[in-house]
Amino acid sequence: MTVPIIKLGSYLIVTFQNELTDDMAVEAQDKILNRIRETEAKGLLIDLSVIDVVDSFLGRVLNDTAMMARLMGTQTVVAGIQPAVAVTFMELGLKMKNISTVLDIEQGLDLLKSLE
Amino acid sequence: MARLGVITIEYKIVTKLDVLSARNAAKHLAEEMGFSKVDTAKIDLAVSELAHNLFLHAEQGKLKFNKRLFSGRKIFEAVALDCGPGIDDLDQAFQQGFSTKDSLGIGLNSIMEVVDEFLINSKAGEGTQVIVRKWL
Repeated sequence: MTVPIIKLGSYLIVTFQNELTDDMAVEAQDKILNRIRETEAKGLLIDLSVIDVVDSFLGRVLNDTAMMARLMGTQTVVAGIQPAVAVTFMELGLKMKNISTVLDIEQGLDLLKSLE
Repeated sequence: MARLGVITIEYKIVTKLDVLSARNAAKHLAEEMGFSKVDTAKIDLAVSELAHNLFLHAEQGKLKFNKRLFSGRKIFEAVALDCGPGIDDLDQAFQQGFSTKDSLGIGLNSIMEVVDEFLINSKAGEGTQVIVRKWL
């Protein structure tokens, strides 16, 4: 099973499924960076709406991916963080340093457009 | 502490897919016991960090989940057991940002933040046992 990456205009949309293993997350990171290069995407939208928990591993992968995408000139927006994810994220003491967050994919696309 | 029913689930953590099945089992047990969505997420998080530690430091280990009853209150208990290298300096291991494995160094601390009880027993060269409990 792999993480699907969809191209929409000049943006990439990635939806993380709930049954996400560490290996899948790392593989997705590689795939995303390659797709950014191939498609010259201006924005990356990561949808976490079906993710129940962001643990320290996934938190790090998300931060790293956003940082790497930014080095390649692509803005990252994370959409769909559930209330429980927000709570556990705070308890973890994680910070999303290079990432803007929005409620859903629609708002994410609006934000990416406004960032251009 | 009296056992409630016979709910003890044991998982051997050898591959990364085992982490996923163990997390799912913990989540289902927590939901079934009546924990809220947020508390279930906290249990899931604690189990995930425990499983990661098994991998990172001991290569493999065991995770056990128990449903317990104490003075009429339900308790979710997770036990992580490994025969890895153990922890030399427990105080150091609990410092925010400290890591021997180039990870974020927030694992142990974050487990403590999300559970009600945390017990750790570790001897260098012999292994580590961690017990966490969440009260309903």
